[in-house]
Amino acid sequence: MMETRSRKRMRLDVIPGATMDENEYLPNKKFMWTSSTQDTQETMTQAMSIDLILKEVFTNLPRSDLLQASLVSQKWNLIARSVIREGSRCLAVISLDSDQALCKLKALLLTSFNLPFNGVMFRLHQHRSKCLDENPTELERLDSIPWELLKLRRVSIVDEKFHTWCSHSMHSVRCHSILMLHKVWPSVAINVEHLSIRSISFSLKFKHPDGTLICPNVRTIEWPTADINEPYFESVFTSTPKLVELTNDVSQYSLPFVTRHGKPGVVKRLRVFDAQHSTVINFAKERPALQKVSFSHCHYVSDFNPEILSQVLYGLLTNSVKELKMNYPEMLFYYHICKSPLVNLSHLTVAYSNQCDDRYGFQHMNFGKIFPNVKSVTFQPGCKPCRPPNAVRTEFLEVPEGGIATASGNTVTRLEYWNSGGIYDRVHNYMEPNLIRALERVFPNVKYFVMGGYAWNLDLDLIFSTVWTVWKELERIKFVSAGNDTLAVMEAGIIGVSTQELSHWKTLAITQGVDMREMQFVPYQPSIRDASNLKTFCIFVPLRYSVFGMDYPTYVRVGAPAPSVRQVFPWASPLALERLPSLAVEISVYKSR
Amino acid sequence: MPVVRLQSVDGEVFPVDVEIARMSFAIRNMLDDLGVQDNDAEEVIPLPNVTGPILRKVIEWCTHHKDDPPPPEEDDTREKRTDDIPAWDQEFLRVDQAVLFDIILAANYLDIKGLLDVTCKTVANMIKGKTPEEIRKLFNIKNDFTPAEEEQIRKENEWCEEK
Repeated sequence: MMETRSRKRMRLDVIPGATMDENEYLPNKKFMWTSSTQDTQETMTQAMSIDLILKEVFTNLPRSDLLQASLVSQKWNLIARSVIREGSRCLAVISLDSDQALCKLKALLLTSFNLPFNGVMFRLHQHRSKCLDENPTELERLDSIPWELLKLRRVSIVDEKFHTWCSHSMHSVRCHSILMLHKVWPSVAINVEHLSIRSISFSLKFKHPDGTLICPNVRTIEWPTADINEPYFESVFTSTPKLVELTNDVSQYSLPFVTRHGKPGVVKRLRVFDAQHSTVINFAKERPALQKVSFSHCHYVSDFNPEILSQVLYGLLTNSVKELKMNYPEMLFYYHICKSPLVNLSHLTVAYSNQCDDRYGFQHMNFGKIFPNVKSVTFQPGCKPCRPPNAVRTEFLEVPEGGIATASGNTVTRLEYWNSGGIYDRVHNYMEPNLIRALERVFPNVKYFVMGGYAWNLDLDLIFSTVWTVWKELERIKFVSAGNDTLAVMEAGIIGVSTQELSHWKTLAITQGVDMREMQFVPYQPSIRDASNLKTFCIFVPLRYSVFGMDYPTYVRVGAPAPSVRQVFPWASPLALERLPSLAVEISVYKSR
Repeated sequence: MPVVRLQSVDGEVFPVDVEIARMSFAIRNMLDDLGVQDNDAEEVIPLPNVTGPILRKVIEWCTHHKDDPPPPEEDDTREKRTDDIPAWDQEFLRVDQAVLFDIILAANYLDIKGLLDVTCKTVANMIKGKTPEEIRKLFNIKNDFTPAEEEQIRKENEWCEEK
């Protein structure tokens, strides 16, 4: 029997005398306690220790349990809310045109010093804006809210359903949005450090009244488009000295403006489109600490100029880059010419182009040498019309003496393969298990495999059995269909699952603990190998699909209950339906990406 | 294997392999600061905040986990899991609540991240899915809210419930 200490039983409780400062309670230091005597000081230090433990425990709880914990006692409330605020994004959604929401907000602000959220999302609705148009005095009710008490450090602005509005109404709403924000902003802006503007209404054509949407202490701004609005950012750059980052992708077309204002450092995510070489090279000379770089299209490749390309790549690709999208020839060029490994790169997207041949004489490449720490790789073969057949196989993975060396991507655990059609086409005999086996030779430690994109006549069974067999440590497989016609292709695979195999999986669920609730699709021939590693298996289905030129809605929405078999497969044959019911209940439908 | 001697607050001395003792960052720093060499077997390190029985448990845990790979980097953006406590640890932590909290305190004081993680996850699992009243009963906590305050907290929480 364990011997226990002879001291009072410790309780997760309110300890008299323990005090907390709202902003700096739970100091990050080790506690001290002794078990011999318990004077006042020790009681105090014990209290501090319990706070630390509570916080450590609470960081393991999801938000729903943290909310329950906040109702246990005063101390638990203080700490649980602190963990909520410090944790992932927890935004209070406030409809600026809802009387009820505004009243509740006012009451909260006047009574609570311990807010249960770490940010606010303002929302604006079209119909209310129209009312305001007729009765502008309604805006005065916004004056009654003590906005300054919010002390918001993080603000997001969205206007709903903008994508359904015509340009005229968008213009109208834009004006009203600004009008309402104008009421709120002076009290809110001073504390805002992170501003997120997600409405396309605020993009290039947005003209702001004086002071609107300027936050003097802002550190990061998210702008809704890659092309930044120059009049607005003219004000931002001159009145926000603390601005350090634009959190959205910035297009190369905005670089001259940013560089001219001496703010190249705020660009962290860059999209390079075409061959405005001087723009990019001038920017690159500033040695920006980019976190993400995307090379879109293939202008650099078709207008291949080694000198220009090396200047661009040398300047942009530094150790700060964590995420990179580039075309295959650029990748080869970087490998053979620059030779500097990107040690902090964790996600790489490799796109193909119609110039994927080896005409530059690049050959063997050791993936791990240049991308030593990449955990996630996404392949995006080009669109079908501009890509020659078998491009992937012949130009990337199976070129003798070329391609990426075997087993050099050992750090990669997540592999995505997005297809625009072609290589899985059984009619043209492009789909080959050799492709997946070739991927396995380069990336032997994949645990999560995603295959997606447009595909037709897909031999799902063959892909299942190959993927499943080659990666022994595989934990998750996901198939994502991007096209409206893809569901029909998948049908063959879905109805290929027999009741016998479903029983096999149910047995596995019992004997090996495989969670059937996470099994959205039961793979064909699961007995090929031990399935104990597999945790989830998903198929994403588009909201609409077409069969023989006819469109069918799937009647499903994200988060909705699983649809019935007839809803998903209204066209399926009676024989197929006979085999589906026991399986269909396991299908969850997600909106396609 | 070089050994250090750890002394609990109640005077009990435990000879421990240095490599195992160094799993505690507090002891590791102490050894490094004092310049203790691997062959200083007679050196006694006092641990004034840990009792003998708890220190014995901590050493048992460290000994079992001495060959574990270093923990992966934390990803703050992902919700932590609590369903991944190894079976041995689950059995190891099947103790009185008071002992469990003493182990947590010791793990925190000695700065043994793995042990702190697993013990806090154990307590988190005790809390998960329970109502406030059930939690109070479990940990013997007094409800110091007035009914009005409790209602106020409940209303405030609605702001951050998943929508």
